[in-house]
Amino acid sequence: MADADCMRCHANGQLKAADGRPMQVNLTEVAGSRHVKVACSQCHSEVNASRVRPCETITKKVDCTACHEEIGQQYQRSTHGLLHAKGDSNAPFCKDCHGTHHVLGKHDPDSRTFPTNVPDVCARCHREGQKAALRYTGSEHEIIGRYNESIHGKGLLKSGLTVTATCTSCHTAHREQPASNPESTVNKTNVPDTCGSCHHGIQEQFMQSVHSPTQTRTDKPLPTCNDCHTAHSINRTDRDQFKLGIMSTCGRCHEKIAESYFETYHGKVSRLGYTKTAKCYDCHGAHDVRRISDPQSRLSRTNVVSTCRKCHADATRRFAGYLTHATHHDPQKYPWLYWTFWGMTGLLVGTFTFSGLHTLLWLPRAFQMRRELREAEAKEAAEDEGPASPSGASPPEGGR
Amino acid sequence: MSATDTELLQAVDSPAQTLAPGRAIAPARTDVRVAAPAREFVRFTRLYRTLHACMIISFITLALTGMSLKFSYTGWAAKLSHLLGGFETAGYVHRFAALIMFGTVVAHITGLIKQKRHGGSTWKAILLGPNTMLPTKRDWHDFVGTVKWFLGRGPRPEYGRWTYWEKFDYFAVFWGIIVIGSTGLTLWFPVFFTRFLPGPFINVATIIHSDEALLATGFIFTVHFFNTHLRPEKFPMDTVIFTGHMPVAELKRDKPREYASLVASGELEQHLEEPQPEIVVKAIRMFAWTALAIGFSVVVWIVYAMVFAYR
Repeated sequence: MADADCMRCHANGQLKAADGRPMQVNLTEVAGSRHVKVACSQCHSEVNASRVRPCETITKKVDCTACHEEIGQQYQRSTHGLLHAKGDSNAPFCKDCHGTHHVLGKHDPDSRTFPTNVPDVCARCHREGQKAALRYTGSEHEIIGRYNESIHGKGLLKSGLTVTATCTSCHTAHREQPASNPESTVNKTNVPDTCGSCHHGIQEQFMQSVHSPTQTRTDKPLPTCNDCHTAHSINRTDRDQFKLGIMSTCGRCHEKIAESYFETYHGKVSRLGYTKTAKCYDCHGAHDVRRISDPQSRLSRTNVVSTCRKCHADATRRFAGYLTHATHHDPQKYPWLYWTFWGMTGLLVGTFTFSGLHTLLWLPRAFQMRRELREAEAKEAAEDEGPASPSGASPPEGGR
Repeated sequence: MSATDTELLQAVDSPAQTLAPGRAIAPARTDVRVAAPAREFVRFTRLYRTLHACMIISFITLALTGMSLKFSYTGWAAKLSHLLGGFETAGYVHRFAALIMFGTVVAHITGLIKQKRHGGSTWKAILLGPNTMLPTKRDWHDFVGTVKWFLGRGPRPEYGRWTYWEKFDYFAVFWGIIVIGSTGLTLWFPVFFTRFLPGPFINVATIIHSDEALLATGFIFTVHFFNTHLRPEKFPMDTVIFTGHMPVAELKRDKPREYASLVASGELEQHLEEPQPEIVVKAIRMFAWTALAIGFSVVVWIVYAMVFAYR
């Protein structure tokens, strides 16, 4: 059926559906779209050309899967598709993201699905307060605002860097599933692959590190990319905020070791707000963090001195023996520090007790001396008053 | 009261008349006492006054810069560190102040050597004489006597030139400079010191440096402040270390043994000087008040950091 047949009615600006929706179609919208070669009836199927009004036989809404079959299958398994199948009115369908007649390819800057436009499309439902955000019960909040301020958001929106990760880069366009689903691209097990699709070199390092499940078998949770970098508010790692925050980030799991770090010079300086001091990753490495017993570790016997030399140019092996996580609270592990600390504390308590007591006992006598002194002074002044008055001790009359 | 005592008490009132019969001072002075104030006893030479001022400046600087690191977990520390120009600048300031303190030690020892040469006395005379800085048996007796006096079981001992608590303060500073200075050098040049010391010694040095500094600041800003400045009969401060001068009456009251020996040897006159000009005393008081105020603030901060914010 030719488009012209449809346009006999649908060019009319007064045409309205039974429920009042305007039914006018602007054919130029279709002409400039990806579907320029697609006829009306290819999407609006079920038309019967033999009728006077061929469209009266239409029973179903437009189904894109007739052509986009594979994408349709993906969509059906996604959270969006599952909700749609349940008849949830909040669930987005193809046209909610792609539009209708003026559908454009994702490489066209005017397209709703062009990278720089994707956050806006998703934000329509996922911005805080909108319908998707309202029904969400997980821990990620303010995702649009945080994404916009993140290194990805700034790269995409401020610099127009279209290869920057946008919503669909991590969550996919049609297969988005909750992180709890093992098939989800943002499931813990899949995050390294997802991030690694851009950060390939980092992923390679990470997979060899002690944090990778391929290297460490443990019941305890292992961290993945977003545990340190967060999911949406990802900071630049050369910013102070990230550098100073890393200790508490690592400290979430390595609690004791982070605490004792803050007892050393490096930790104290970092606490004052300065980044030019050894932080966790400066010694342990970031993505390539390995067990110290691993010869490839930056802190292995062969590498530790050169690691110290990054800051302390002339460091020697003995210098590297400095205890960077020492605490004076552990008599078993650090007896020297423990006993030095308590020796010094004893000296302090002893000295202050002795001199404090000395001072306290002195006080009443000192007050007594002060009283006697004042009395003597008063007496002396009284004696002086008499003979001294004519020579000027009393103020002369009229002298101003 | 002995005859000399009475004579000298009069001397305090009109020194020109009684104390310096040989000097050509107009007798008219006795009538205008207001214009010619009583001469004062010189307890500290200019060198020691200067050294004490240098000590104050370097000590307070060291305390502020050092405590900002020690108590880095308090919000105060970060603010102070920023105020001092950041931890790196604070570090340079700390080391510079340490050099000033080392300088005072060198100047003090040089001063002692010069004093020995000029005075023509021997080390034995200086170290074992009546004015020695070293602890003596007499100090022990003075200490016991003082405790008895505190408890109302005896009179106030007749202290000499240096009381036992002054000697304690003096050696506390010596001890402190040796302990804090040596560990401080270790922390300043860790690479050099670990050429012959094990690495964990740096950790040990950190604890000693930091806790000994806590002892020093705590002691100076409370015990020393009280013993010399705030004790009721001196309140609010004793300016003798700044002006170098003290009234003769105060010498007689505070250091009766030194006074008696100066009177006996007839040397007291050589140690008297005109008082410092008003403006100098004023400036000195301002400086001393600033030092006292900073010292007390540090004590408040230490207490806050150790009691209320301890981590």
